This record gives sequence, structure tokens and C-alpha cells, in this order.
Amino acid sequence: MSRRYDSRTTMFSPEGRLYQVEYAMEAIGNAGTCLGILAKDGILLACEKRITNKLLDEIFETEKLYRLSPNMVCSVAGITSDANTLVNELRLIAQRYQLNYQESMPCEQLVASMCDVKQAYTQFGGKRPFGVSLLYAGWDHHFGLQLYQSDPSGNYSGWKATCIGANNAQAISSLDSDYKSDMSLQEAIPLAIKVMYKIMDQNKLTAEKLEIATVTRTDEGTTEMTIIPRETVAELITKREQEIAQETQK
Amino acid sequence: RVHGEYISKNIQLYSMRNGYELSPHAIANFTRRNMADFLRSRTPYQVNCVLGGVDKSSSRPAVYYLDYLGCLSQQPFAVQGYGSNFLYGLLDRHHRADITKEEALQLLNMCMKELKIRFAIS
Repeated sequence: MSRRYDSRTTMFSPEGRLYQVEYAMEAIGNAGTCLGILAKDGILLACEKRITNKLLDEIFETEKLYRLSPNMVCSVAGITSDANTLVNELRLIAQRYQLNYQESMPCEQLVASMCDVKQAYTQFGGKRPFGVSLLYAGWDHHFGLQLYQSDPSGNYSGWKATCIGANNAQAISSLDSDYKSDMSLQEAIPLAIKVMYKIMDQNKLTAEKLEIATVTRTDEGTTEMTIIPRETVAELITKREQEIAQETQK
Repeated sequence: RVHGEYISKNIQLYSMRNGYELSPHAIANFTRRNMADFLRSRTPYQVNCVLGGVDKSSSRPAVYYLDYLGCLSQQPFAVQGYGSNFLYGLLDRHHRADITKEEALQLLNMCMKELKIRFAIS
């Protein structure tokens, strides 16, 4: 079973695999789902909240969505404490760029820099990789609206629609069939609800469990993250449930 | 000269890494940051600069004044050196926001002439 190659993050196994990195990805496979959809007028990020205890004091507005810079937003899936460290580092990287160039850091550069940091943990230092996958949504004047995903190995890629966390494979195949390239945000929001509903079939989908935000470009030339209010989310879920009831009746 | 090469090679590196160029605004600020950081080191740069560029996407031209103390200012026109005492007045008088390229060249010639007449060292 080549167990002896497990514990050192910096060693390859005889089959040429990095076990620690794969185990990190396993950890993320049990974490709350995050969905991202790139529409022509904005980006949608939908996250499943795992911690919904009514005793919890809501200090932060969002559990899984973070603003990284004036033009970028991210959502996380995985070990929360690892995620906090990465978000701090991302914010620092973005601000350092802004300090040097007095311009917002282009999206891909931020993602790539962070991924270089993550990759370092898979090659040297003797430390374990971060057990977090991130979805990054942002705008820059080079490529407009962009959606990226990165994982513990330090790999990243740009997506039109993707999903991380629990049941992500199911979500991605669902998005595969229903996503259209020239979708608008108004069409993407019900699609996100539809996909989230499908993958959370064990636990019933309620508005408290969902965090949805849209990233859009305003006329003044700023990038805004708007969190969809809970009532609106609840309405959308009810609408979806009605649609499903109608479909099963036919 | 060394400072200039350092800056221009870094700009090239940026283009190679990212596939697109830095904007004039970013380059100006990067240069200023470099100047300011080295100011309080053992090896400060003693270079005064005038920077100019055209942004590729917006086609907007920009001129910057950057001195060895790290003061950066975007201006319609910029002068460094002793000649600035003479030329700022001339430029102020003749420059307009909507000046054309040909008029600007004429203005530049006017400045050179002024220096030859007024400024003792050529």
C-alpha cells in the first residue's frame, strides 16, 4: 500500500503520487459545497454553509465568501482555519501589488501568486499542504470578468462554471448540461439553486444553509459583491420546489 | 543609467510573465516606489526623471515628473534640471489641454531655443 510514503509531504510515492496532496483534496470533498458560474454580466458564487446552529452569534456577514481586493472576491471549501490563513495571504499579495503599481492586481496574477505559495508546501518545508480549495471571482481590464479555481496542489484553472467541495462532481456534470455561454446573471441564479438543490438531496436545502453572492461591474467602474438577501434566496428555493413538484406530477 | 536599465528590464519581465504590458501609470508608480525604497538605503538613486507613455487600451497619453526624492506627479508637461526655471514659464504660457502633436513639437523647439539663448551652459 506504500504507506511509508504517506507521511512525508515532500516525497513522491513509487507510483508517482503525492499522497499528502491527495489526502488534502479528500478533506475538501467532505466540506461545504461552493458553486461558481460566470455569466456575461456578472459572476455568481453560491456556498453551502455547514455551521448553522442557532446559538451561533453572527459576527461576520458571510462564512465562506471573502473580499480579497477592490476587484476580487473568493469563496472557500475545506478546513476553515487553513482558509483564513490563505485569505489573509491573498489580501496581502493584492495590496503589495497595489502598493507598487497603484493599480488593482489583475485576477490571474493574484491566483497564480497564491498558487505558487501553495505549491511550495508540496515540495519543501516539511509542512502539510493547505486543505482548502478556492473559487476566485473578479474583474480586470485585461480579460474582464473571470472565474478561477485552485486546489491544495497549487494547480489553478479558469472556468465558466465549476464547483468545489462535497458532491462537486455531480454538480459539475449538472452544470455541464445546463450551462449556456451567454447566460445572464438573472438566468444563472435559478440555475445555481437548481444545482445546489440537486446535490443537497440528503439534507433539505433551506435559505439559512445557503450563501449566494454576485460579483458585478458598476457603471462607475468599481467591482461590487452583492450578497443576495435571505428572503430572496428563500423565495427562489420555494420556486424551485414548485417546479420540481410540477415536473414529478407530469 | 543602471537605474534605468533595472526599471526597463523589470518592465520586460512583467510582460514576459503575464503576456501583457504594464500601463504607463503602473510603470510610473513602480519606478517611484523603487526610487523611494532606495532613498533610505545606503545606495540611493540620484536620478531625476521625466516619464511619458501612452496606455495601450485607452490610448490616453500621460507625462510624469519624478525626482530623486520619489516625488511623482502626473502633469501636462514636465521639466527636470536647471532649465526648468526657464521652461516652466514658457510651457505654462503656450501649452493647452487640446494641443496637437505639431503644435507640441513647435513648443518643444521654442523651449530648446529658449535654453540656447537664456541658459549659459548649452
